[in-house]
Amino acid sequence: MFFYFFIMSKYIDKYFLKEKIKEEICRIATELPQDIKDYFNNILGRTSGLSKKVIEILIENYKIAESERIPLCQDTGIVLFFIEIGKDVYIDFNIEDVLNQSVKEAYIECHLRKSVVKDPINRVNTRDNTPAIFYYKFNSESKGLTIKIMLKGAGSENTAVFKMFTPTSSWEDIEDFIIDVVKNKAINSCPPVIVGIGIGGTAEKAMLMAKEALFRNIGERNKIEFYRDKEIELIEKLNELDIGPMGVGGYPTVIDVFIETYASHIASLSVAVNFNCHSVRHTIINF
Amino acid sequence: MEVIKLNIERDFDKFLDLSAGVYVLLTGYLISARDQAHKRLVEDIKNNRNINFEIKNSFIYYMGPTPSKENQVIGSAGPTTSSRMDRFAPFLYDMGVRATIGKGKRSIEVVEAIKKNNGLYLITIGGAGAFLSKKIKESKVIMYEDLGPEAIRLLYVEDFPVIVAIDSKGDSIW
Repeated sequence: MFFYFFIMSKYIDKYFLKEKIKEEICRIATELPQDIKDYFNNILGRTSGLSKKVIEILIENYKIAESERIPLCQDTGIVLFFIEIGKDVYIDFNIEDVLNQSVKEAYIECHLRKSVVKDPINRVNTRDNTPAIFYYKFNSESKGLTIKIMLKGAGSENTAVFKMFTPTSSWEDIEDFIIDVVKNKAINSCPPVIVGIGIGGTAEKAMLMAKEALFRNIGERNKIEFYRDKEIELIEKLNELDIGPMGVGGYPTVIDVFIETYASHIASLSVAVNFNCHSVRHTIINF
Repeated sequence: MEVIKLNIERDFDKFLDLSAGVYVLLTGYLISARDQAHKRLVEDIKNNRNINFEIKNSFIYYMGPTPSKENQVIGSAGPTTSSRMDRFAPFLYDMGVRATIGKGKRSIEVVEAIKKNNGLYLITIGGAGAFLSKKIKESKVIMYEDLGPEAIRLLYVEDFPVIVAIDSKGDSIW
């Protein structure tokens, strides 16, 4: 039995994991994902005046950031890890200690801003951007270890909104709420924003879905037809709000809209909205 | 699109005539300060303590950079959300601050303070910290060094892009 386990399991090397995660944090702080780069270049022709100027600067920004390894944005965020553990994974160490070590080394060695305070009220900086925030999923259907990393800036986090609707509310009620949130809050989240929406579950489940939805690639639609259509409708409606890049008006206000849903209690209908700024810093790594 | 180049010291009078929506390339000295620095600065001014820069006619940039590498003037240096400084801004405009630079909207109180003092509110490009760092030619911590990225810095910028979001008459791009 023991022998079988040894042969069939995926052993994660602590040092390799620490180095790989550190390297990826440094990389994503200075390198925009390809889908966002493509997005900026594709929409440039649809913009004019000040909004065109802003998009042109954002294109120049990602080029300078990547070639000179200067962070895309000075807010290099707090680090979130979404860890998915497959059925064959064998880990014999404290994974949070190792990943916090990656964060510490990355933020110090790659000159990223240390933006984490130890206590929310007394606010003393930890000076190494630790601790990170961890979420786990055990997936008995999959193999291997998957780690999703997100460097989340406060501009796009401070605008997060949660609302409990009554279960008899309609889609139109929820849509009005989402449009209102974008209308009132997107300007402080560095638009054009990506809108993550979590519907259903309990309060924290909805917010977690809204957050994790932000990992989707641009154009990646919800698999349920109803929500896929709603995503497309929302992209159109939100882009008519005329907030524009950095709030200067015009097109675009949102890059994409991602809806995630889950079953809920008969008496509940939770809705959470969490934005990502246009400076997307995330990646998914498989071990 | 019209682009206006202005030098903060030399073209000082021209700032009063700028209207909301104008794109300006700024050259001159800025003071960088964000949340904790504002909290301390306002306390220190109220208590008549020594302030290491001339508040009158200063341009305050809401920014806390990433650490600079060797041979770099400053690290990534884009604007932070201005509304968090709304509780301090009216007092600072009253004390003579000429302009603030950040991103996002301001409160009614800030708009009133801008009108009353012939001030300005300028926005620059959030998430363009690498690009904006190239426009900063000098950077020196002048107050509250213990605050790290939130310390007050004296910056010299050349052709630093800003958009007039609220002009001296209180009109805004919104």
